[in-house]
Amino acid sequence: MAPRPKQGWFRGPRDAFATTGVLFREDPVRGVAATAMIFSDALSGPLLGLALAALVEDTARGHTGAAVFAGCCVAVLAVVQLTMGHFVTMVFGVLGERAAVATVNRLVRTVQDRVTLTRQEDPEFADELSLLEKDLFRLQFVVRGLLVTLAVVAQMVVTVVLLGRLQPLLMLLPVAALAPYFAGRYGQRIAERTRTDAEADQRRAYALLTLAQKPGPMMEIRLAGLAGELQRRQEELILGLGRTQRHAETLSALARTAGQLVFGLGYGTALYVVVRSAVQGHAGAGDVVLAIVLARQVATGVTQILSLALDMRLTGLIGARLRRIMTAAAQDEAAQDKAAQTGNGTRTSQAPDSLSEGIVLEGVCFRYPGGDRDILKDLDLTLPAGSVVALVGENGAGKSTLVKLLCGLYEPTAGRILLDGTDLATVAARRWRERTSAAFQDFVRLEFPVQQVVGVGDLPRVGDPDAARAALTEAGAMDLVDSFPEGLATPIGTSFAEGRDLSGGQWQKLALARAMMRREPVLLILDEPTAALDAQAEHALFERHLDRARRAAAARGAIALFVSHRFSTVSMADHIVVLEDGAVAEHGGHAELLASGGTYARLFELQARGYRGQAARRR
Amino acid sequence: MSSTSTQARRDRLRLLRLLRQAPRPLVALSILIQLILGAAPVAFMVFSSAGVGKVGAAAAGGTSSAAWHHLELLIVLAAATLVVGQVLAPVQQLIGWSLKYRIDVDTYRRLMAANYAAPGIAVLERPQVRAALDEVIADMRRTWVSLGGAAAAVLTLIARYTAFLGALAVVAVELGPVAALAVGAGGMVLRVTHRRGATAYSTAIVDTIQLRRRHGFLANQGLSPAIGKEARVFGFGPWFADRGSDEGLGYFRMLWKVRSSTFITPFVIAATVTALGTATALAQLAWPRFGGGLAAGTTALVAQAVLAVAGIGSSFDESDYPIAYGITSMRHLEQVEAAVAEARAATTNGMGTGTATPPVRPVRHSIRFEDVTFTYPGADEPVLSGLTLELTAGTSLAVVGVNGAGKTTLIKLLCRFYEPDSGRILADGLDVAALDAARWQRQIAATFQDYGRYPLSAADNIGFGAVELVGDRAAVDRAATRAGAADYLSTLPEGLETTLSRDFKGGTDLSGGQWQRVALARAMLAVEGGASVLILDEPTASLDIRAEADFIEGFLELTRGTTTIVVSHRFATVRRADRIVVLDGGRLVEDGSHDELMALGGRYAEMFTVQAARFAQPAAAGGSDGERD
Repeated sequence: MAPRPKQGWFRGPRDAFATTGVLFREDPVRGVAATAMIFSDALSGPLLGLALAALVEDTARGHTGAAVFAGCCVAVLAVVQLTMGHFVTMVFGVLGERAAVATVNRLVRTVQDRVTLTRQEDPEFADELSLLEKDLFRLQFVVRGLLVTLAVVAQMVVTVVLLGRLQPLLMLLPVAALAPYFAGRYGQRIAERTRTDAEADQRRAYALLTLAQKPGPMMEIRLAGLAGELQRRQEELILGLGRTQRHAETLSALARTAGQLVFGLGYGTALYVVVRSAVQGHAGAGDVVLAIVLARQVATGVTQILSLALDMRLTGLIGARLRRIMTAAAQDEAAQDKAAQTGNGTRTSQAPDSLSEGIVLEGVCFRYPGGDRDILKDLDLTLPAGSVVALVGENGAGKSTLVKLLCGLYEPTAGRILLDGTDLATVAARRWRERTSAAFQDFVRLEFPVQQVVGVGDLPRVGDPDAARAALTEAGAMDLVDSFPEGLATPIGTSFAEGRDLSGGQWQKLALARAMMRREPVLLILDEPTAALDAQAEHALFERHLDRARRAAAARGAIALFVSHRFSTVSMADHIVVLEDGAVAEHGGHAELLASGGTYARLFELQARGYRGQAARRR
Repeated sequence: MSSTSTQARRDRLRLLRLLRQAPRPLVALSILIQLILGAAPVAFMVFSSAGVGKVGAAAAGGTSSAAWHHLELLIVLAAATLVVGQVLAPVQQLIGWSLKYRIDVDTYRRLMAANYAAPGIAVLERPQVRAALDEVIADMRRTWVSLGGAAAAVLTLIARYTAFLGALAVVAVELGPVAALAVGAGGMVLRVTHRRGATAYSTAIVDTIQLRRRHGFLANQGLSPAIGKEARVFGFGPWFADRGSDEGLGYFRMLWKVRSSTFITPFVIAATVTALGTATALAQLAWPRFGGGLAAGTTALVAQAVLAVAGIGSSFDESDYPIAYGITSMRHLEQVEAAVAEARAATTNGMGTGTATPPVRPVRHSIRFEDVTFTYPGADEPVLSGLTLELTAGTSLAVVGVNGAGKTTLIKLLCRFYEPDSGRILADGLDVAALDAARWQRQIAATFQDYGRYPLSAADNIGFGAVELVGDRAAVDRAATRAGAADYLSTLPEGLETTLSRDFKGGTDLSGGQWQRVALARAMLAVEGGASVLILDEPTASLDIRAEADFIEGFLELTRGTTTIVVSHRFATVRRADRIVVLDGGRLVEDGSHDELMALGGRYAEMFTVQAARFAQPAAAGGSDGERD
């Protein structure tokens, strides 16, 4: 807790201004216009005070013409005060929305392209990102708050100078305003801390609430009679959240009340001083009115600065979160560059576009950051160039982790992965990934028109209908797409008003088609891509796939690796690798492995029983 | 004009009605404070102006005169009213937060009720209902838009209008009704423009809800770790980012158009009217011929009062938009509630007779689909057309067919998540449509393809099979063991108490196969909890070899004697069923035991052979001793 204020003090303004830059970068002209409007709005306050004083003074002296003019000035300034904020809101709306779109763009690029996958999967990073995402649409408000604060500060300077001309002692009035300022800061800090702490509970409650709208849980909840139970739990979370927040809100309100009280006393004193000096003949009635109006503006100004300074803290938070995420990205990139340099002398190696020897894993270990056990343990494995490899193993054996390492998504915590003898660590991960292609069990449900859902598998050809058709055919999904009235242009997914919802199997076929887009991958991985497909679709798919894999193998020594639980497909592979508990238990050809009578043979036999001979009759 | 403003007034009243959820003393206190907050500035201007009026006399009499002491008193009073206002503001904010919180908890309850109340799911799958529901939830999560916030904001209008009316009275008394009318009407024109702008804007927001949802979806998916693997392998992160931006900007451009037409011209006109009204009043104040030219104190008072009256034309940041958005949120919630209530009424009226529903009993004899036809809402073709199928209680039935043949639909109809267009489903001869849907649903245990992955403990994830057994650790352990999930769950950091989601501290995620076994355990628990029909929709899709074999030889054995319906693409699983039916085009095309269908040499035989070919020859390690029982 001790270092916090310091951090807030030095970094807060810097982050806040960085955030302002984010807002204005997209539209500097509007930014400048909005800033000018904010300042004219703020400065109309002291001018209004002067005009009002003139009105009173001139009326009292019977200068009717001057008094009417002063009255008109008051009216115009008053309307400026009433409406300028509205026009500022309009301009800021555009600025804010534009900046939010641009920032999301920047963030998506950062988290999906620059940071490592392990970082992206880290819950703390996810929290930071989700808080930032939630705050982004407030960007315009907080930046506006920051500018208004500055404008109000300018307004205060003018006001204080005017007050000082009436009575120098009045220049001390803003000192009394420090009390509410610090009280407000204290309150804000409590509220912010509570918000961060409560984030997990709130997320959990809403996760349960939104889960109930997904088809599976929606049905389960009804069958199990869970409605009441779920309601009770969410209520507990929400009420617990409320208790924490109420405590924070109360403390913060108390602090602010105390701060306001101090200022109120200061204001009373100021009023007394001015009136007393008027009575002693140093000022007229108009001056007293000016003092009343201006001193009250110090109060409003202070309240405004107070509440807006709180926004500035939030501006700072947005800036700080953004900075931390960008720093993480820079670190990840630097770490990769460093690995690339130390691994192989000085230069980054090229990603191979063909293989002659193959991929060799030497003593590869992997452990999640902060994990307490190795998922892969000292794994040695050779994937010969031009082979079709099946990866077999029970759940939790480390298959998916191995796949991620091979795609360059994770880096080994120890050991090396060699591509024709070149350490993968010395190859830019991006370059290597361009040479791979993959379909995963937990594939992405991209909601775009079919053309793009499939096309992004090979970005340079994302809009190429022939390429998409070829890939769809390969994945056995062309029939499906032909059945759509709009064909490849059909939007997929329910985030579109007119989007088509697909079944699990249909989604999976599109994910497979995506993996078939790249023309010449050196490594093609299918990680249980057919779980939701029917038997015929799976069989046909694998036959086509193997055909293609063999051609790619002959042409450039490409390796096709697939993870499957179905031996009808596994046995089609040239080379079968059996993983057990994070290490290779055995490997070889189908016949060879069967003959050796090891894990593979046992697993095969287990599954074969299900198909062979009489069905086990049930009464 | 009148119809929209009547509507607006009615909506505000409905917001106010929400305050009934909050404790009365708190509401009363809030109203009291709002009155004080509204009266304070008026009192301040009265006291301070009276003070200004006394300056001359006090100056003449010196600091020991009675006039000076009177003036001192006025200063103290003016300062006190100001202090009261300043000090009460944070208190009011705290009370406002409390009110908002109470009402939002109630809104959350209403959301939950809507989410969980409908026995069918068709209503929640309707795009408009889903969209409305998502909007309310999104609004709740934003800290500044919520029903509670809106209701609390309506109360803040009390302070605004109290100050307005007080100042208006001052102007009317001191300067006459014409000046009061000029400045009052001028201010109100601007006020109405503000309010209408907020309403028009929030309406535009509602009208573009789908576009906004789409925009939010893309931002959300773009930032989600779920697309991390593919985004990196295919390098489509930047592409995705740009797609999201393009669509986002497209949406906002539409919005900007609405905004400039609502918010520029009307505001310029209104501002001019207000300026004229205010100038009229102030000119009258300065002009002795029209009643002005008053004493300094009165001039000061009236000038301030005129400004305070015109102040009604300012934008009420604390209420304009919170109320406008709160009203759209309220309408969304009411829309969802109405749809759910309607669906609920439709389901319970489905029984026809209107008498009490027959008691729901475990299925003892049979389940029969009789000429059942069903078309999904909005679809052209029926998924099931004239399906007739009978299942004997205590036996197992496997349903096979290509993707989209209607297998899952059959299950959903049995569960009464949807009601058939025509035909009947009979349980022991009783039309299930006549039963209480919620009670009938408790008779069914199921694992679906997209089973729930609850961000809760493993024990809860299993316990959620049957609400009565949620906390029953022994039952949960038994179910976990039966589903083959106990071993790995016990190795988790906190065993069964471990949260199964990496989104939460100390949580862990499971692999697909591990999750599937958790889902199976959940179904086992449901059977233990009294369900008499077990449905397994693709139960082995992501199981590994051993787990599938265990499932076939263990799980299916354990559930023997339970009426079971299995949907699967895995024929090792399918063939174990007592009876197998093949669906195609919404009809039953083959029906029989494994052996019968193999002998028939039709669709089933073809599909089975594709998968079994590899196992046709006995492997070196074993013979054809597949039969274990």
